[in-house]
Amino acid sequence: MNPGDAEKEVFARLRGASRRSSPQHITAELAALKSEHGAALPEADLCEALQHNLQRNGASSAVAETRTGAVWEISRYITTKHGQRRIVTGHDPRLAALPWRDGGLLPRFDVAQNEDVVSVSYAQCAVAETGSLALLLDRNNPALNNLLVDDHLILVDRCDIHEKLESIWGQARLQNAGSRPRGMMMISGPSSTADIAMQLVLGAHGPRALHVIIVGSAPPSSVSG
Amino acid sequence: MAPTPRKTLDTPQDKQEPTPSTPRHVALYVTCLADLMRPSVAQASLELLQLAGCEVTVPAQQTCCGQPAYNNGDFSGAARIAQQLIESFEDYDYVVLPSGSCAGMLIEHYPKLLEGQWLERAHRFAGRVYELTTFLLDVCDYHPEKQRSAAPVAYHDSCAGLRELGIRQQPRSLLARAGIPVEELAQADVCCGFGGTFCAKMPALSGAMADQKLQDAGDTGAGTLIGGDLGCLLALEGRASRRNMPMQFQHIAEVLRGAASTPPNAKSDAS
Amino acid sequence: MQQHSRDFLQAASTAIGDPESAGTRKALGLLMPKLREQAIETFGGSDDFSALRAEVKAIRQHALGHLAHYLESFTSAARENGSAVHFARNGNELNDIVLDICARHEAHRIAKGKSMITEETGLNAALEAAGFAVRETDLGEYIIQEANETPSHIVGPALHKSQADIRELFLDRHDLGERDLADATEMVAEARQVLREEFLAADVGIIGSNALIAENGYSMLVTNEGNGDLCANLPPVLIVCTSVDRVLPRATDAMAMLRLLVRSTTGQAVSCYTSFYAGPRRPGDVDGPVETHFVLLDNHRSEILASDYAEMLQCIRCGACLNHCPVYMNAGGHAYGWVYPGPMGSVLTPLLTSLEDSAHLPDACTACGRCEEVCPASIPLPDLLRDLRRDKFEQRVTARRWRWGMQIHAWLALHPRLYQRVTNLAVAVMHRVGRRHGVIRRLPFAGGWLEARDLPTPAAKTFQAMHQESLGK
Ligand code: SF4
Repeated sequence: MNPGDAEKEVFARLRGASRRSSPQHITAELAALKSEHGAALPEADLCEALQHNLQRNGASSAVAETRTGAVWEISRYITTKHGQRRIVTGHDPRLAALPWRDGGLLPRFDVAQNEDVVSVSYAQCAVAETGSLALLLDRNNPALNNLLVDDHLILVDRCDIHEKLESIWGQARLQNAGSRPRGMMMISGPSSTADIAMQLVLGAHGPRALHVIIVGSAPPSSVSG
Repeated sequence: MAPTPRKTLDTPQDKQEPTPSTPRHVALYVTCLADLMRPSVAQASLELLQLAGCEVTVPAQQTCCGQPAYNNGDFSGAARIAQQLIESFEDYDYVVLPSGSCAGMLIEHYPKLLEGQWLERAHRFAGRVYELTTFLLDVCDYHPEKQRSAAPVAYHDSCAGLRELGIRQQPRSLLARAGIPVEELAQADVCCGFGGTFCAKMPALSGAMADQKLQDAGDTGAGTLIGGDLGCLLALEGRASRRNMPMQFQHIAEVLRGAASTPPNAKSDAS
Repeated sequence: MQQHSRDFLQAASTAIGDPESAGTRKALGLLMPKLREQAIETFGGSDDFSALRAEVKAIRQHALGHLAHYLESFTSAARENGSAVHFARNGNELNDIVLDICARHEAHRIAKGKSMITEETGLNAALEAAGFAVRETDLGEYIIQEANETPSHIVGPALHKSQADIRELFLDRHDLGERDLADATEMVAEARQVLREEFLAADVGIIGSNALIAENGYSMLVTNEGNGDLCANLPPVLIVCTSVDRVLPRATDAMAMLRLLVRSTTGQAVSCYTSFYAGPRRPGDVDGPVETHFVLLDNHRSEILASDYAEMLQCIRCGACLNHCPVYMNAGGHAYGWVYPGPMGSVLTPLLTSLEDSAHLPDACTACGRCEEVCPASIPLPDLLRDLRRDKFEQRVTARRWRWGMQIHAWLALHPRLYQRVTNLAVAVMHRVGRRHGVIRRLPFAGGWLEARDLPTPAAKTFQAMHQESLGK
């Protein structure tokens, strides 16, 4: 079998079955297909909507006005829940810049190992509509930190919360062929399964718990509301 | 999700206003099952339409609507039957059938079988076709005779009526007008397992589905199951009989006509 | 995968007769429609859902109408991203391509995420025959792999197994000493522990794909467990196996489809993990596979695209039609005898295998229309099944007695006078037969009906005969 033959033959067959149109025509036809849907937000405020939906997905969340506040929240969460302070994080500059000492923490900046219990990641953005965090997989953000640990904490900047899923793809790095990361994970809750007699169990393969910390103060316009 | 009713409350635009002086001229298509198996359903339909002020003809050319052929893949046989039926019924103002599934065949499926000129005719024809309860309520605004101290009944929505024609409210409203309380089935939107020749090709599956429907109907506590499609009712009645279940089965036309107290067979025997 | 669709009737009867599995299926049939309905209500309401459905249908139709164009875009984008893209005309070619990659890397252990395509091609058997150790990692797939069974549902492959079955299976298969495994939580924890070792030891990861994005070469993977992501990120080699019809033009189209898919599948707003994979690790990356492959299967899909059945390719494999099908709920997924059960399977199986071998499947439908009502891809499943019956009829696959019976009936229906004479006679006979017992239990030509039910006795005459008498004709 010559591998190229299959490709040629499949394309020939598909061309035979496809409609005949110029690329310009196809582009124009596609442009007419607009998408503007999605769940209505439970709250007017994006941050509240995100928190509401995360809770529904089985995740917990907290808001920290400042970066120091975020570190305190991490510290509070892991000491009450795990009685220890060991965490692993990737090399995201925003993580490196956190005032860890203020919370009495000293993370290991590395790829998570099977033995790691808690990891902290920084999301590129969040989607309020579904309660999702988007994490690009690259040198700063190892995928295994999202997957191997028992408890996953994700930070996201308040200004990076979008309303709809589509906005995730607006990030510049995803737009250009040269800068596309090898992957992107959209995480919306702890790992779960219902494969045993339709009973929902958390922690199927990945984290048993997901805690999201939204960093930043509310924009002035929404403070009053 | 509630199905969207395909037909609205409006009568066709080109029809004259219903007044006693100009009665609606209706062709009754009795359906082959009522013709063969339960003439009382056809008779009750005829009388109901007359009571609703219609002038009713039962065209003598009628046979079967072609569903058995269609559903078994004989599309050309079904198309010929469709043409014959359209030819013998298209001159009437309205064509009314006491069956959601046969009405669905005429309205939804004839156009799928035909082409060209015949397709146009099929579309025009479909606009005149009504299932009985839809016609009685939505077109005639018929008020059936109030029945005193009627026992509650359970209602079976047949799938074709429910999903192809959006028939749900019509039979319930008519029963309410007749003073007959209706008990709802928990799984009202699930098929009873009749499915035309399906019940003969896959009897074990069909029987199991019928059992679930009978159980559901029995759980309502009503002793009688009413429906608008004789196929479902006969199949359920046959299954109940095989399993020695005491439930009664009646077509809504029979019930609205007040036949509830007389066993349908005895009545038609006497005629 | 070996096909047993010819035994549909018998397998369905067996399933109906097994009270335990019937109870499990009944629970599924009650729960899933409820979850779906709640999700639609909660996340935007049914109008939003209808609009979304129309939008995704338009996108899918557009993408399939220009499939060659979009597949070309995807292929070049994926290659630009550093992935190898392979094409397979049929199942064997896909298996050979995967085997080749595994052999080239001297792999021993392979961790797999859920993939219906590789069920279709029988990849596991091929890999095992070649000496590779394959481990399914989706919990449901893992359970049936250990039990040596096949999937009964396209989303929940092991939903036919009770909690007690699975407990027995785990106690038997896992050498972990005395333990309780009292509830699902304990069982999931045990599977997690066992499978974690598998992920860490795997040389190759194989996953499926819910959509291929033409504009950027990413492949979308929707899971709740995260097992697919472990397969995609831990082993040094990643192979994505999917079919040529999965392409969507834009990333935003994948988002629209995602909304529709999860609401229809599990009633969630979004899955726990929705991941997009494009290629191998970039310079400086600290984890991820060093080599990534896409293997794209045709296996009759280009023929389906050119046929009257093209709409079937709009299917997004959500499983809603199974969850709402009363035939599926009674027959169970295994009765369908191949990879895809329920309404979508009854359409796909004859198209992907042969009409002769799947002849019962198009008949396994009462045309109740519940599947079409819920199908997020707006596929007219009952119509497609009826069209397959037309093919059966025309190709003489339909049993002769049915073909002749139908033709005689249609001929009679076209001759009203004769029809009326024959029906009068038939009714008179039936009336006489039934009068004795009140119902008919034996009658020529009614064997199928009478197998499960009695036939109510008709009146002495047809309505038409009585009516004509009353008119004095
Ligand atoms: S046919 Fe429709 S309902 Fe069935 S799996 Fe496919 S998309 Fe879902």
